[in-house]
Amino acid sequence: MPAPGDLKGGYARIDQSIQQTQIDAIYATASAIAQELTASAERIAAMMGECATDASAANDRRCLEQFIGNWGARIMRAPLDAEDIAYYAGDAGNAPVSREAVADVITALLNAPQTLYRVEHGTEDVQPVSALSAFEVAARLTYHFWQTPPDDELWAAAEDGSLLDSTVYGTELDRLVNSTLARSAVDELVAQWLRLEELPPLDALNADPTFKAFAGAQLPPASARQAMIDDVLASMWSTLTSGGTLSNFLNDRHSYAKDDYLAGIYQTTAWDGVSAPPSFPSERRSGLLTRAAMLSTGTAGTRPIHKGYLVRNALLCQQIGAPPPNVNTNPPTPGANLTTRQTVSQLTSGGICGGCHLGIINPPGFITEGFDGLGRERTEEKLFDAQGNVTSSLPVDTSAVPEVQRGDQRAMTDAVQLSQAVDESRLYHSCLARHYFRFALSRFESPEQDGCLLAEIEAAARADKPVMDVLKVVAQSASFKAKRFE
Amino acid sequence: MTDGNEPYALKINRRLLLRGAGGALLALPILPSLLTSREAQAQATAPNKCFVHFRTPHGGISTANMWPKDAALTEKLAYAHEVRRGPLTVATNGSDAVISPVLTAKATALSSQLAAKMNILRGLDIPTYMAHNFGGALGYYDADKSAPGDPRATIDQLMAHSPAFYPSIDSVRQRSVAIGKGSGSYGYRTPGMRSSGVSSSAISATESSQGLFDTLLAGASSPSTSPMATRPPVVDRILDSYKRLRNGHKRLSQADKLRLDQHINAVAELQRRLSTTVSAGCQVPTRPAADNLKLRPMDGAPEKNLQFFTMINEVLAVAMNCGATRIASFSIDENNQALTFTGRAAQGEDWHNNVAHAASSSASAESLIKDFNQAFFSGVYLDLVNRLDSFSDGAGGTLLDNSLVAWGQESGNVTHFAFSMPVVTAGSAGGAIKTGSYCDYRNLGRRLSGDSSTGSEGDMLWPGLIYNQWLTTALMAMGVPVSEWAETSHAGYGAKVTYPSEYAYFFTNQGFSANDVYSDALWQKTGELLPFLK
Repeated sequence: MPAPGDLKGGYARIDQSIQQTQIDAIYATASAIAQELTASAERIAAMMGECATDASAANDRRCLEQFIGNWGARIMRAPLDAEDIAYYAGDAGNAPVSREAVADVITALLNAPQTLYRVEHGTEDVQPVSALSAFEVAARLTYHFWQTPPDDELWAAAEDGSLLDSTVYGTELDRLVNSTLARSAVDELVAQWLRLEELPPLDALNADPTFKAFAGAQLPPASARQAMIDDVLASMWSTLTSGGTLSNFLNDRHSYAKDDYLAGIYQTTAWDGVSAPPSFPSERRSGLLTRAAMLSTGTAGTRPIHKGYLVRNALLCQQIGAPPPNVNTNPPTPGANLTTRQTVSQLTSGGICGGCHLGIINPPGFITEGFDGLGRERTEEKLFDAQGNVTSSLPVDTSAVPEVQRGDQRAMTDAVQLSQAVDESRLYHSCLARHYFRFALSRFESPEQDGCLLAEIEAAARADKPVMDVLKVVAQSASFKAKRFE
Repeated sequence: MTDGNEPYALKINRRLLLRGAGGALLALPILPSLLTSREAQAQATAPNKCFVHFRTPHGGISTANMWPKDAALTEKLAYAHEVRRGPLTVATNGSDAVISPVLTAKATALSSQLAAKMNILRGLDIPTYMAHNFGGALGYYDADKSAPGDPRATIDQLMAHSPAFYPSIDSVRQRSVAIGKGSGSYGYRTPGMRSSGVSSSAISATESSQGLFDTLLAGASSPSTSPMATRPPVVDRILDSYKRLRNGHKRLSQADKLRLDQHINAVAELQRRLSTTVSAGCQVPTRPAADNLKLRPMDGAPEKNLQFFTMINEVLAVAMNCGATRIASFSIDENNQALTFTGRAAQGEDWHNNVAHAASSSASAESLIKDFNQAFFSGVYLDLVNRLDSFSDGAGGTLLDNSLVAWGQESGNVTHFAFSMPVVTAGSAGGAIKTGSYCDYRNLGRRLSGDSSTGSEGDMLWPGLIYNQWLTTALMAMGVPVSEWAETSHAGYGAKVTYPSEYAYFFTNQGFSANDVYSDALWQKTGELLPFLK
């Protein structure tokens, strides 16, 4: 089950509701596109061919039907039969076919159910589970990996039926996963898995005296937030395209900062996006857990509870219950002589809070306290008053017993050790498998129905197979090429 | 192929023909001033009712800042427990009119006459723990955000699809509008069809004032002369294409059929809206030259924050006067909209963490919460209320008199807690409810204790009547009959929620239980209009 706060399981794909405003917007957009495409005779000719604009009106209807048969089929991801073509040509008339009629046809095609939805009829009429047609398989593949309709090559493989051959299917699957077009889907998975959108704007407090004093010469620009998110996404993409594993992603010590600001946080040079990315100069910066996006808060303080929760929830899938109603949810504001860690410990030690915080939530968050609220390394925590004056500078304590696996009482002092424990536990690999399942199938896993597929993804992840291979498992399963009609 | 720009002087479509015929008829009016008042009254049909709801984030307004002083409660009534009321009075402080520190505005915006059309309702509890939520104030209780156990459609959506509320939708462009970056309005998966279940996603909202105008009022003052108007509406073909697939011979799963049904419903609504003309009896201004979205960025700029909403109000009031819509729900949130109505920026989670959650233990944070809500009340809520009050209903009253404009909050006087969820109303919904009262429904015989680690909720925790009774009151006031929303577990509207055992200490700390307070007898009362309003 999703963790508390993971609205709809944490993945936008799981939200399959239909909204009136969506329908309205799609209609308005399609109408506008249709108007633009038919705004001049040149555009119409470019789209439909010379038959649409030549002197003869006698060929207008045939020209329109050819256009529907070609273009309509591609946007609907399946061939149209004569009945379908006649239906969408509808009341366009025979001769002449007006510009307005063409615009209406385009609007109708763009709004058609087969365009807006992946309509799957299967190939059998009776069995509760039916194999998909080649075109339906092609659409599943491209929408899963590219979030687009099938390209020409896949369309051709569907058209001649070769896509249903296992060898051709495997070749096409490799091509899709290896394509740069897979980037947007991978980015979406990673961003929602790690809840990167929750990273707050980093420049909102730039006029605040305390924050200004804290940031010093590294006052974040408005672009800093996106740069930090992009750094994480680029790490996964680099891991995937270089044949790396999930462990490699966790422990990737390269900086993908393309801007001087984030590069400055990492104390390295900006990456040109082409050559090999620079490595973090500090050995303490372990990889994912110490990327700026995982540490930054947009304030002068850190959020150990938030960091600890992320490790438990997103990386280990260890559920933590919702806080009790009388919880004091004020984020820790360090006292004059207390570090953030000390303040958090004080706030969460008493009563029923301690049960979850002391042993479960706080320790993984404390271990990365060697980095400040902008992701910079530190050994001391400077405290400021409201005017931005330093009131004290206290040593940071990063030691804790994170107990990644129950009973593991090893004390750790930095993110390198924590990452290693997370990696060795294999819980991280199983957790990603579960998240990927939800993302791929747009629903929560059901132990009864999905045990086999989930186990296959998990096995690939835990066996340290390349990320690319882990992602392919879903498409390699028999269920990917079939539809349940019950 | 023909050029669409060729003359088509003889092509008069049905819509233009009807409009022309209508114009001729309208040229022979019977002026209302020629009738006696009794005749005029007899001719007047009941004016349309409008419902507007504003939701603001966090709540957490201290009791001293939110409510009038206890001395204002001059009457008592033995109800389920003793409840109190007093006439809603406005004091003056310089140029300000004051009901409470939050309910303060310029005297020009908050007159005694207007106060007589308002109610302040205290002591309405959602008897469970929801913490943060968007839909609670309108009846969507989601203690479990991922999968609410027993969700209900919000009352605005019940009204929007109620045949009693909208006996005719001929001139209604949109049944309801949700305004915000997200909304707290939830409808059924198939709109208006209770059996299809409550949608797990809130109704999509809009924030653009120009967009709102385009949706509700565009084309009202200048009929289309486009050649496209001579062709059959393409939306008809689109709707038919869904029915063709849905009812065709090709195999579909049950889930796909349900999805198609939902889509068909939405396209049918689109089709209806596209063919709707705005009532000829109202004045529609030209499209606003500027859009409120251009005011961004506006975090920490209170004047811009207010203007952002007044630009929406301006369009909405006209649209309601025209009957283009009769329902609106505003969902205001400092985080996702980046506004606080104060000079302190929301800064993402900063306001939430360092102001809203600190308000019960920090005077400066409490003051910011007061400032946020006072500015909202005077500059946004009263702005719309006064606009609606400026439109005559043609029967001696105003559009406001026939409306119910309510302000609800995310939490009660302590953020996260749903005790004493404040409700401020304006308008009597055509006389369906009495106005001019400050009502206190708390049960002063049952003090609660949260035993908070901050100890800061002080004397703010008292149980009262059940919030569902307010939901029922609003539905009844707007004319939505019980038959359209009846519950089996109690007499009012909405889920019958309870406190899980882990939260029992609110009550057990004082030696009683939640069931002692929110008894079955009290749940039965939720089917009645709130005391003092009937």
